[in-house]
Amino acid sequence: MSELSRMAQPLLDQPVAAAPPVADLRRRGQRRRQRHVLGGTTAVLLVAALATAAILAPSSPKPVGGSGSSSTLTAFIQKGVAVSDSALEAIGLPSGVRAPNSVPGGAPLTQDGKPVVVFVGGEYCPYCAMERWALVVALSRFGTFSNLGQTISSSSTDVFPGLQSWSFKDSAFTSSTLSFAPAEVYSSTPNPTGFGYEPLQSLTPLQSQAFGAYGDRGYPFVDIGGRYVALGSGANPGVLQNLSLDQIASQLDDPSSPVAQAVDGTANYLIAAMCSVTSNRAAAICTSPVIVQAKSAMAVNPYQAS
Amino acid sequence: MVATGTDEAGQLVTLGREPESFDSWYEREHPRLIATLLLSTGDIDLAADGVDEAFARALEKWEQVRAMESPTGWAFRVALNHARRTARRRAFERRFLIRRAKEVPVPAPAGEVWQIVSGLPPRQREVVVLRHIGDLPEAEIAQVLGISRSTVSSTLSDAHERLGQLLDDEPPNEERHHV
Repeated sequence: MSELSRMAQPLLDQPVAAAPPVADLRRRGQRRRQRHVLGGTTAVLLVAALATAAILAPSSPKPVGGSGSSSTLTAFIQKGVAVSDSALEAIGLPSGVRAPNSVPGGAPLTQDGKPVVVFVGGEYCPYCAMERWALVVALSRFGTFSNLGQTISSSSTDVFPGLQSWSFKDSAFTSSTLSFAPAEVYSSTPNPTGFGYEPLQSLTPLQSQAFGAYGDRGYPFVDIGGRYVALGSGANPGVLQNLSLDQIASQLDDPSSPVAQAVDGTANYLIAAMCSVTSNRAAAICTSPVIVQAKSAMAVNPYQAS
Repeated sequence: MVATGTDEAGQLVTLGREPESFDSWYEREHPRLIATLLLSTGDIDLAADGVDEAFARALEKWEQVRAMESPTGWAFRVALNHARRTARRRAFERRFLIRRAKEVPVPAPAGEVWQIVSGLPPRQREVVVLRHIGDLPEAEIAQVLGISRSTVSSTLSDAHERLGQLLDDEPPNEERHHV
C-alpha cells in the first residue's frame, strides 16, 4: 500500500456519497430504457419521413462525385457543398463556436506533396456528426468529394443520441492543393463485451503521427497541415438533434438557422486554417473578412498541452 | 460465500464459489468507485452520477456483468465514460449559456488527497487514482481507459517523478521481516 492509498483510506471508510438503495438504481435504469424507446420511435418516424421524402422528390440534384454515392445522401451533401460565401460571411464567427488551436512551430503535415487535413472520428460519436458537416462545407471550397455513400446514426446510448450523419470510410477527396485523410476508427455497433464499439479502421502512420502528438484526446480530432488542430467538435451537436439529414442540409445556407450557425461557423475556422496552410492560393474565400478574422482568432489561441 | 462439501475421506473441501449477488458486490465496491471517480474528476456530483449510472447498468444485466473477468473494471469504465460525457455536455451548455461553472469544493476527507492529485495532468491523474485508490492492476487500468499497458506503466512512472515516495508501494508485511 502506498502513502497515497493510506491517505485515501478514510474515503473508503467514510464515503463522501451514500450508496442509493438498489430500488433507486432500478428506477434509474427504467427511466433510461423509456428514453431509449422514445428515441427509437422518433428515429423510426424520421426514417419513414426520410424515405417518403426521397420517393416523392421531383428530381435528382446534381451529384457530388463518384458512382458509390447514394443519390439521396449525395443530394444532402450537395447542399453542404453549395453553402454560399455570403451565408458564411453573414454567419461569421458565432460566440458558441470554438476556434481550433494554432500550433506554433508545428511541423508541416503533408501527403502527396500537399498539406493534409487529418480527421479521426468514430461513427458512434455524436460530436463527429457535427464536425463532418463542417468539414464538408470547408473542404468543398478546395476540392471534390466522392463515394460518401454510407449514412450512419450516432450511438443511441450516448449523449445527443441518434444524430444523423454519414461515414467518411471509403470516401475520396480530390484537390490540387489539399489532401484529406479521414479515419473512422469505430463503428456505431456496440462491442459484445460492453466496452465501447466495434473497431472499424486502423490509423495510417500519418494519422497516428498527427493524432498521437496530442495524447489521445478523444474524437473528433482534426489536424490541418500540422499547423492547426481541432480537439473535439467546434460547436454543440445538440442543434442536430431530432433532425433528418434533409432537414440539416436544408438549413445550411440560412444564416438565421442555429444549425447553419453551428456548422458554418465551425467551417469558417476550418476554411481559414486550410487557407493558411495552402498560402491562400486555393480558394477565393480566403481573402474574405470573416476568414481573415478567423485566422487572427486562431493565431491568438495556441495549443497548450495539459 | 464459498460452498463446501466432504470428499471420500470425509475431509471438508471447497466445491466452488457461489455466484456473488449484485447487492453484496454493490455494497463492497461502491465506496471505492465513488472515491476513485471523485479524485479523477474533482466533482462530487459528476462522480456520484457516473457511479450510479454504472451500477444501474450493472443491475440491469448482472448475469452478464458478473461473468466478466472484472465486473469492477467494467463499472469503472462505464462510470468514467458517463462522467466525461456529462462534463463535456455541461461545458457545452456553459459556453452556450455564458454561465460560470459552479465551483464545488471537494468534500472532506478527500480534500487533502485532491490537493495532491489535482496538480497532475488529467490522464496521469486518472491512472494514479485508478491504481492507488481504485486498486486496479495495470492491465485492468489499460482496459478501463482504452490505452495500452505500456502507456499505463510509463504514465505511472511519469507521475512517480512528480509525486515521489507518495506512490511507493510498501512490500507486504511478511516481506518486511527476516525469518
